[in-house]
Amino acid sequence: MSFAVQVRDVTVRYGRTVALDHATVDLAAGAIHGLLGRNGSGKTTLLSVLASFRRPTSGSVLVDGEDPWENDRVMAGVCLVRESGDVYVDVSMKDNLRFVADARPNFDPELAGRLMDTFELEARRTPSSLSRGKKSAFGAIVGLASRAELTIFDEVYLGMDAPSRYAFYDALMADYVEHPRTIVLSSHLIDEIQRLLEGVVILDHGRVLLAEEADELRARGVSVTGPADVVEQFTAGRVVLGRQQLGRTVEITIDGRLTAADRSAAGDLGLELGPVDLQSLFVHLTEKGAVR
Amino acid sequence: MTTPTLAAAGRVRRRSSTRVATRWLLSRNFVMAAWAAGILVLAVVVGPVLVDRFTTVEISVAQFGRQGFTWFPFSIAIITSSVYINVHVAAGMTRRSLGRASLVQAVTMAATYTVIMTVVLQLEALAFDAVGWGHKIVDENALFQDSSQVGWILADLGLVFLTAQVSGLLVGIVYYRLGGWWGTLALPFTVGPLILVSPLLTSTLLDPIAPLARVPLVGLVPVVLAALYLAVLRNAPLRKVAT
Repeated sequence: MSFAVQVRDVTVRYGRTVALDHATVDLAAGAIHGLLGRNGSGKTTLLSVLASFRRPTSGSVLVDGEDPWENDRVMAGVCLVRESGDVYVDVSMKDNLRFVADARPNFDPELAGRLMDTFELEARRTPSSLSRGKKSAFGAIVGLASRAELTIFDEVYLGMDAPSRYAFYDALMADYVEHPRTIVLSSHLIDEIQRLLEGVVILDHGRVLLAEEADELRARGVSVTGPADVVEQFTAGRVVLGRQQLGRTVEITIDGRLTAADRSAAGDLGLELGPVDLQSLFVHLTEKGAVR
Repeated sequence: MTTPTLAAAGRVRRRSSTRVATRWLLSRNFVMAAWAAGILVLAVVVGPVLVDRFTTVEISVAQFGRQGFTWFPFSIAIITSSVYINVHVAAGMTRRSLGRASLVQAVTMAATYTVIMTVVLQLEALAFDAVGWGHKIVDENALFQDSSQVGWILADLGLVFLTAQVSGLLVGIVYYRLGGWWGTLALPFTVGPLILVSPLLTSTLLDPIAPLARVPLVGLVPVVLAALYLAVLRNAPLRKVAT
């Protein structure tokens, strides 16, 4: 139950503002993708186009091989949860879930009930009476229990405390393993979600900066730590993503893989090599004036 | 592409999204209609008793429900098109099905309010007659002058209530799509026809057309409003929710 996505040369304009600028990206079916980007990079706009919330100004979008716009079959299989979700805020959560259960072909009421317990939500209450974090939890429940072929969470964790966020990640993984589907997570909490991701798309100023498998991306950068002069000598001529210094010790993050000979040379020089986490790589790649 | 789905396990339920949305909208609206009807009945029972303490009861109280049953459902229809659209599309259903469902709901609720008010008028006339009170209709904008004119009552209320429902849907979607300024500037075109319906039926505006011939003519007003509503709804992008 997974939809693949093909976005080709998509541009979305809001008046004079270009929110998406000739974006082209593929999302493989049956995987968890992370959509990363700074504020205003076009993440929500891209996700809105996938879920038929809005039409692109130009370009084409295919979800499961078809244009999703006003497409009964495709729209029934795409679920975008924006922040706290688009639900009836003044209707009880019980009635909201009943409505979604009617509308969504794969909705699992048992899962919804279990998650309501996990997040300690009383079904008789209305979303408008909940705290920000609880509202987000309810949006997450709607998204998970809908079991849509393409499930998208756009900053759904806003306001959730750490235990709730980890409960959500655990529930997401548990249900994903049982019912594999295409999932897109958009979040600023990269450290928290990176362990879940199989693919990563980074948007910057409306453009697709990169779209790679998460493992390849992690292997792309290397941090080199040691005495400043030795590190500078070792990294000379390489693409430097970032530099941090503490006393005489410096850590330089470089773009690209190291050969076995490079690693051996680094060892001989007493340098420490380490992986770069997605968050550091993301920060380096999207900061102003970054070398890409 | 699509990998093995829950359909294989026979768990997938395929439902018409128009039917799902219609059922949901009607269930919410019927609850509100029941409250509105309850308030009307209360006013019809309590009003004359109070008036009778000070003066002679000569006019129908229920007739004033015509205004209430016009503007209350009108405001609910605004909410339907401006709030429910997010819930509907986010639940994986098309704007096309929302258009169909909201118009079915509009026709059904207009008929419901028409029947409720017609029945209340008849019962009120019987009760007033039994206690010797007068039961005049004083609303000059109404197509009927007496509660015995059931045909005219149904035509008048049906047209006004249906136009109110569809006008409300149009007002809501225009505000939703174009924002506050344009939504307000468009009011003459979105609410104006509703205000004109009664004068078109009863005043000299359409002279010399006979009242009976005016009914189908004025019936075109909600049809045009419905066409405009569907046109504005068709490509509406979803606005951000306020949370």
